[in-house]
Amino acid sequence: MRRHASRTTPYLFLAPFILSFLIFGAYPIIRSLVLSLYITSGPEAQQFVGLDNYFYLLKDPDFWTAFRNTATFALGSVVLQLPLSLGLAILLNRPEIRGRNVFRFIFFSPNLMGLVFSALLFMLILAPKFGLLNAALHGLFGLPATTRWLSTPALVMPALIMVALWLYTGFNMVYFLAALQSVDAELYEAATIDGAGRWSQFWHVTLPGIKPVLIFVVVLSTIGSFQLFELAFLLLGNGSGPDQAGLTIVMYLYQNGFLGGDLGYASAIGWTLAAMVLLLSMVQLRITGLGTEET
Amino acid sequence: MRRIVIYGILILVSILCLVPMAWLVASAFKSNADFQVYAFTPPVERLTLGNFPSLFEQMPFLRFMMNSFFVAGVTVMAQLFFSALGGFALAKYDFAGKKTIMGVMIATMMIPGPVLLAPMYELIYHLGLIDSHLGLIVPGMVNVFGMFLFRQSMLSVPDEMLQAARIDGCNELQIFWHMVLPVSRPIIGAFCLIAFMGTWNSFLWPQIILQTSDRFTLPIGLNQMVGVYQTDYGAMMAGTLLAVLPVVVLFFILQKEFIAGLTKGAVKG
Amino acid sequence: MQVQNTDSVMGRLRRRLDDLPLGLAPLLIAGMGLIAGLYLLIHPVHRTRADLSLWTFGALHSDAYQEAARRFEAQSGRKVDVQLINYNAVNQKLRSALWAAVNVPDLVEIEKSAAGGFFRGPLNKVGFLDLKPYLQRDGILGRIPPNTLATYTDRGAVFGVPHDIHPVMLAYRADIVDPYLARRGKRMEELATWDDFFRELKGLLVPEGRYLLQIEHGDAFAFQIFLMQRGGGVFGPGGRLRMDDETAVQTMLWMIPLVAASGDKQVAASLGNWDPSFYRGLIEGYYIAVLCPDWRSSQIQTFARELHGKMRLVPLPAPAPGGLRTSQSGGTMLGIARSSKDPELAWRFAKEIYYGSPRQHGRLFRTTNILTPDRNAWGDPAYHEPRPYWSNQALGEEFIALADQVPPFYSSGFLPTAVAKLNEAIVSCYGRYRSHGADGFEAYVRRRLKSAADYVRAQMAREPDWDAKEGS
Repeated sequence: MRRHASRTTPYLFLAPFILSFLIFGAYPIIRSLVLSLYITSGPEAQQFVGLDNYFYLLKDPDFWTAFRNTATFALGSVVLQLPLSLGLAILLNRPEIRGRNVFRFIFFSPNLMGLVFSALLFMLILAPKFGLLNAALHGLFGLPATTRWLSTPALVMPALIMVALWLYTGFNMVYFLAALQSVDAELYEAATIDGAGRWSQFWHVTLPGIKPVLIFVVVLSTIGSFQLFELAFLLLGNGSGPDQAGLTIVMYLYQNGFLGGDLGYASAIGWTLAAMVLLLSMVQLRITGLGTEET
Repeated sequence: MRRIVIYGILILVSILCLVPMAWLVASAFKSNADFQVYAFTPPVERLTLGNFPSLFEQMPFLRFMMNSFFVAGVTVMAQLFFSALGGFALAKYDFAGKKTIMGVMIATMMIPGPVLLAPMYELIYHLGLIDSHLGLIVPGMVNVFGMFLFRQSMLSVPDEMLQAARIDGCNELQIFWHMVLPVSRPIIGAFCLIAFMGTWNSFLWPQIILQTSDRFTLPIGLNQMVGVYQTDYGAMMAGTLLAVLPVVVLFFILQKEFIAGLTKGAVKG
Repeated sequence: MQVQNTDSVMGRLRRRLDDLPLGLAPLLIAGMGLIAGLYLLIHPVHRTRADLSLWTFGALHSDAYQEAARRFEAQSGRKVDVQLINYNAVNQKLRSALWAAVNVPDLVEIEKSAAGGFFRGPLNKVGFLDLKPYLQRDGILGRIPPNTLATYTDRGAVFGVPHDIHPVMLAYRADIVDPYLARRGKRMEELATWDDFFRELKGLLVPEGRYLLQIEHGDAFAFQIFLMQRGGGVFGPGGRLRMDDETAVQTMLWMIPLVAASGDKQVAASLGNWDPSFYRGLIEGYYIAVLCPDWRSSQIQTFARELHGKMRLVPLPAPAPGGLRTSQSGGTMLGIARSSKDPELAWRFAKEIYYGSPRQHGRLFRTTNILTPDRNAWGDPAYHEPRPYWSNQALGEEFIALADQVPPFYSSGFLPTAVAKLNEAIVSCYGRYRSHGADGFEAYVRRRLKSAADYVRAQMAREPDWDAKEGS
């Protein structure tokens, strides 16, 4: 009679992950950490510089431009997207709404386009003169149709945030919708009996009820936003946009490594980003108190 | 009144969601000359099917699609199996190093992919997988996000039930297959769709390791059309439309499972 | 009854599915994967073991080179594999290939903006062969305008041969401009300087409606054309950075007000350089002239079909009387990888496609409008036939007339950084002029260009002295 599973079982089940991590995770990680200590130009042109790449990076104005842009995008995405997602989810969660499945499908559908194909599409939608957005703004509000969304520095980030909003709002909404449906209906009844208004219900029942999912989505959106690359890169015609307004950290890494040829400096950028993201996630989890929870 | 407002908002958002896609459809049937003349759609008689033949002429589109289906199919199945298995181990076993493993998993999610591009390329070369579909599939067989997803859903399986099964003489794989997996079934649909979209849209890595155009997946094949010296916008939109279609169809079929999965699974927090 | 029946069949099917532990999703995906797998099994990839491989990023190039490859194979009995690689992927693919020393093509075409990046490192470890000895040996140096080699020359070594010259001309709406000038007893060709151009055409200017020239202020495309026309450059010979020298300052001081001034002082505008809006502006007459390197003329033909017979090309008006009537923009090189097993064979094929049959060059010219640097090909009829789109101008003759005056473009491993910094400087100078006008503009331009250049210099200062290290 066996009361416990064999000791090796969980390791066996995790073997694919462990193996894959050792081969495709650990080795490249160590390799790129080592690379980050060199100035390189191809495998035969490497010069050891110690931590100089990191020191230089901290004084590199372009890195900070990239950081500012990326942070703006992350903030804009999280601040605009998540409340909108949550709001839509709450609306859809009302029992009296008919056609919920249809709306849910429609809201989610932009996400099906994927980054690459969305970028190809929006590159044309955002174009001046004939692009759909300008044509619509012109037709509806009489704004000039010559707005250059992707080549006016001040408009690049808003445009990117807008596309991301289109892509991801529905996706996050599905998470929230799922979370809302798991909130105990009796809590609402109790709150109603206590005479709580809508806002008070929202603050005291809804938010606590979906808190774990909310935090999950916030952290994941932040991580995702900080790794912004393909969308911006493809939308801006494989570049960083006017005045570097669309330069993101990962794009800066890509430019240095794969266009400039210095994989060493590129690795240093990557590791700095990884450290930032890690720090940020830890702060988020700590503030919200989820990191201590053990499920 | 309130209902009208709510429906108003919902319909407005729906329009905003759908218009770009409608524009994509319209553009796929617009000639290159009309592309710049008509913002949305030209008069019906000017619509053309010409972009599709020119798309198929310019690239082996069917082949790209089959490549995408093959890579996505194999990758998703592997990810599904390994994620469920790994999630099970993390949910229902206590063992030394569990915390470390989960910490490592979270850390890997935070490392930006491009940092590892160069060493990965070297590695894939040493494994002899450059310019092959295996080179796409093998490094992507494990999905950390999926492991977390399954772990969450499997936490709810009562330990007593598993113990009882063990006493009845079931081995661990049987328990996994017959007792735990069915509990996670709603998650499976959701995970499959998310994993499928991830693989279907994957861009940077395939772009680097695939060289023979007969092996290209759709995003790589289509992005090929965006040239410095010439871009055929009509054909590009036609191709984009066809590339997105399978995902839309799949989602349409799996919609119920997808939503149910996320409702029952990811939410336990 | 019938409905009942199907219902129960469906129901049974549903239940079947429900019995499976996995559900519908994996089945669908696995099924699609399986079908696709079978398809790929039946249609295996034909992988020819080639003696030579070539990467190119131009679809039209690829077609022409495939043809040349078949001819070459017939002559030499060696197999050539021509691969079309996306423009945006070619640099990163080559970078990865060189890094892992695997799958490096024997021959590769690279765009000039990225080329310099591949020339870094110890001279004898650069991924490309020095082609100077080959060019000298086979007497090709004398056949091509010498300036075209500058872009791909580093520390005296020629790492690539030029595919093109890319002279810049002015393309304009002849249907609007010519009648207007004719009424005033003038011809476009007589407007020898930019001052003449803007003065004589002033009457066509309609603020917010019609501008005289397209000048993009969001990237460095136009600026670099004007800069090189004045004898300047981002880099000079030997990789010397000169993006903040007096020529650059003067170019900026001249260009920005054209597009940033207010009211009818603004004579130029742009809707973007690279998207269809560029053509839209031309078609609608939002601007009536554009800077036009040879390669852009074929794009205009494709994307502004409506303008058939309404366009003409003239040499660029000069910055000052007697000044240069052309400039340079864009470019592609062909390099031979140091790792090539048979460089001699690679060179023979390179010669075949770059300095081979005039007829092949001519055929390509008819579709791309790109002038080859190989003078021997310029006699081909394709360069001398009238083009209906361009008001029956013989396009080839126009470009050939300017070919030898096209200024040299000097490359550097730091070119991408320098151009990015230049972009920023242009954008901020534009913004500054918009808000403050001419007031203190010159000091601002000097300061801005210098800070942009200083950034690049700081990066250059980090560059190890590869060759010295090699020697020690």
